[in-house]
Amino acid sequence: MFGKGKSKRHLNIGEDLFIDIIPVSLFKTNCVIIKDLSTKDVALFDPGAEGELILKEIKKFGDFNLKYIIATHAHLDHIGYVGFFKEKFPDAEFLLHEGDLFFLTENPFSRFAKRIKAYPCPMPDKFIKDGDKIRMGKFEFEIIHTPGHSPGSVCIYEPDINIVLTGDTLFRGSAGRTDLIFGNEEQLKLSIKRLLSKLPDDTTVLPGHFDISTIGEEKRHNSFINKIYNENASCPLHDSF
Amino acid sequence: MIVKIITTGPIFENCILIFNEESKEVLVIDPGAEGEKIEEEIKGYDLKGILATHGHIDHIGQVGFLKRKFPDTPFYMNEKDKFLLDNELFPNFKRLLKAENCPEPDITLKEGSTIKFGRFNFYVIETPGHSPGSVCFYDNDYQILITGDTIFKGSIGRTDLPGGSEKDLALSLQKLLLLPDETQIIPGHGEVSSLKYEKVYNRDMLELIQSVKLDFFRDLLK
Repeated sequence: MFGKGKSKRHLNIGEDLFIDIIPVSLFKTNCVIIKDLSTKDVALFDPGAEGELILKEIKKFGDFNLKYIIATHAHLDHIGYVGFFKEKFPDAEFLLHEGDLFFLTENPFSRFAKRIKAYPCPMPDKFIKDGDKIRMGKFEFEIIHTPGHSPGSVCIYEPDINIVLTGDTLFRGSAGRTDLIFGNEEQLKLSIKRLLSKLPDDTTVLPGHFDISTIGEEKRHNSFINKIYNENASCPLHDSF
Repeated sequence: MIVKIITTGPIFENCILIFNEESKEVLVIDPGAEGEKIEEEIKGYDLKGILATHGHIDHIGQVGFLKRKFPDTPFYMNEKDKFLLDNELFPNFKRLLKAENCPEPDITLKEGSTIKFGRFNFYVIETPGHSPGSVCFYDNDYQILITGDTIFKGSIGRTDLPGGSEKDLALSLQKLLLLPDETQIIPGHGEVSSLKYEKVYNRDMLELIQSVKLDFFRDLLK
């Protein structure tokens, strides 16, 4: 389904929708562009770095109207260039979960921001919360609040095209770290359990870093998920003795 | 004596309550948000003082509320942060925190002022950087350091808000590093920590101190 390019992966679904994933900066943060081809509306997820490159990619597919900038969470590698896009497109709405506001106001990674030349991040235009549905043309992005990696981490699910953006909550084969400020491993476990129970197995997972996957694949091969479910179960090998 | 930390508001500001159970008195440090919650917590105690580590709205947002409820209680702050009292820092931030207008401090805190409260003797250490009037409260007997936004667990305060200065912050942090290793740190946001931990794991702090030192030597060589 996905053509793997050198560094970018494109997905063209029918005539209506175009999805582009651009790994940016040293961290290979997956910046996701979703474009509704009929209305030319664009939603941009996690513009962490390399604003010019992202802009070039959006422009490649004709006129556009940047409607939403959505951050899965407010760690610097996911919001570093929100300021860049807000400057160029003041009408675009920047959406964030309230739980991560701390990272904007107190900027605990300010030294790091300087090093990667991040733009000062503007305040969100609107807060998103669990269960919110963000409409863009025919498409509807559903917000699933998944705290753990950070208090305001969210996953964004589109039921029609059956795709979920998991940010740093769930990766291919693993899960987000919880040792950063306000991280919480117990919350992350609950969030991932909830995410898995909500989504069908064939949902495509677009994580915040690294390769894409599916929910079913992760249920089988993800070490963190296996750990959650095996914690209380006894060892099967041991049982047979 | 009981030290209680309650996390208030959308950006998890640590409001610190110090209870003296013998005399039924309480001290409130950094009442940033959720005034009713703070009022509920201190019920049955006599509010003896309201202290602020610095004048940012997320740390003083409920001083007005508490002063209205307890008009005789003095409000202590460094007067160098007076200019920040009616600054909401970010658009709509005041409404979001449900903050109230903050009165001017009744008593100003300076380097070396001491606040005697029960068995605690809090010594005021001026630590400009995050804001010009940032202070830390240190008790030498119990080795508790209340840092506000000067230092967090694993990170340091930002210096790009009005009156902030990287150079000042580096000097302030060096000042704090002179305290004993066992000192418990209660920061303005996030988990508590110890100076020993920060000396090893707070990369931002170590890096800032180093870079400011290097700049100093570069200037000397010019």
